[in-house]
Amino acid sequence: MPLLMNPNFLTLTYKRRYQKAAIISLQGQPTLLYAHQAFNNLLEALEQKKIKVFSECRNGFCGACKTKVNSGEVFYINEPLAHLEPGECLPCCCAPDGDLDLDLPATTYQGITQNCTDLSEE
Amino acid sequence: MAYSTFCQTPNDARREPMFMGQSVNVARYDQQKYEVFEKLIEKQLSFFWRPEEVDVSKDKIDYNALPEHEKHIFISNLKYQTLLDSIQGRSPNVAFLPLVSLPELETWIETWSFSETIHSRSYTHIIRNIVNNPSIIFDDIVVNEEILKRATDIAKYYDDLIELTQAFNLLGEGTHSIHGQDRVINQREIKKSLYLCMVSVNVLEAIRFYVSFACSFAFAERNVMEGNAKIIRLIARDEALHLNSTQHILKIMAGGKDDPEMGEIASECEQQAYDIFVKAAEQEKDWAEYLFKDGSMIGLNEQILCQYVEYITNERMKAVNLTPHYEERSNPLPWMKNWLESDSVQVAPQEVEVSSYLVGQIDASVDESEFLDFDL
Repeated sequence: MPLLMNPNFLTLTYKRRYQKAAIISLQGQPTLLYAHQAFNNLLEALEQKKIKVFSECRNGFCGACKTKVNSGEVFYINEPLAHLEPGECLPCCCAPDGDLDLDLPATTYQGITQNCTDLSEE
Repeated sequence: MAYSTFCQTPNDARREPMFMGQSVNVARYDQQKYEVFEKLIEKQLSFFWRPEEVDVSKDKIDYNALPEHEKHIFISNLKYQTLLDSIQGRSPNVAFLPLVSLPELETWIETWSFSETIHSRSYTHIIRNIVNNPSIIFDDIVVNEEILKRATDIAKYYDDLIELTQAFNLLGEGTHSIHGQDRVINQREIKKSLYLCMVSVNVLEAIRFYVSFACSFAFAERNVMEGNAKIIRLIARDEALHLNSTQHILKIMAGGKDDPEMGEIASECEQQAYDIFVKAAEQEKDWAEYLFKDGSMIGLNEQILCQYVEYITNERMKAVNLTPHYEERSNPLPWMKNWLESDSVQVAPQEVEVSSYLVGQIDASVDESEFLDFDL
């Protein structure tokens, strides 16, 4: 059953916080480690790594942050309202369900040197 | 298919296309072709607000202290937004409702238009508070050259669709003389006009509004005209939802599964849709020039605003599967994000810190497994 259909998805989300951290890659380049207890959603994690993602409402109803997923799965913390084609996700209200490769240019990722330490700490 | 307010032929609305099928008869929502429209309605209703809830009395003091060229920027934007919402408060109803054939979409269009009327009322609320004679401002809207230039392009698509629909309902298919001009009226022409109209509405809500939003928020970034910014923020939240709905409709149309003819028209009209986006962006850039003709304001000038128009146009074009027209750039107004984020919208006066004021959101379901690790 898809997560959203499950009436207890809130509970599930809670349990998911103890999932193994997921590796987020940008067009094949491993970029960040998503620890479920550290972030509220994927967008927050991307922004913390200074990856440029266009966003507006941050609540899943404007669709501004729509991003293509190359491989991997996401689960939704809040049900999104925006129109999603297969293979698209809304980072503002989802979290990775296992390792994830996003179709975002890795070049938008700035400050590799200063963030290396953060990665090793995680 | 002449329009009837209650079509007596029994039908299954789920088998009708979004537009130009059998007119809606029973407003039932137990079975839906596109559930998303009901979700949009619910979201819009949960966003309900009234302009009177926001105190704009301090804005009068701020406004009087503004230099003349900033007053011009502020008032011009209000005038333009008043025009946009005057159009949006009625046109979706007049133009789309006679064509719609799904009950959930019909109700969404009505809910959508209604929220635009709240926006219109809030402009009066703001203007009444900052100037002694609101007429000077309102009367200028229909004579101001710069506003009219853009108004023509916005109203044109709606007017065309309304004219075609009315002629079709009255005279049926064929070539008819309307206002001395021969026009071909058939279903395909109406669908084409409808598609272009929807694109133009999308542009209105996705690009045109954001130019004024940027200016209002730029004032508030300096801690002036904050009451106004609070209202504009609520408006921006509604517009984000409307914009999502028109993107949805456009995608369903272009997908062709809903109505194959509409899918053909969408691919046929791709260049026209592209041109609507570009023309609107260029008009907005001209508007930026007009706004800053007497001088810039702190934090915003013509150049930055034009860059923002290009940036946002690219993003909106991508959202409806069009190739972006302008050069890729990073967001020239990064602080806009803070104002557009809906969670920080102050909805009710007592809800200063908290996010969206949710109504009826208590979840009473508790799974038994929750208590598994409890020992007594």
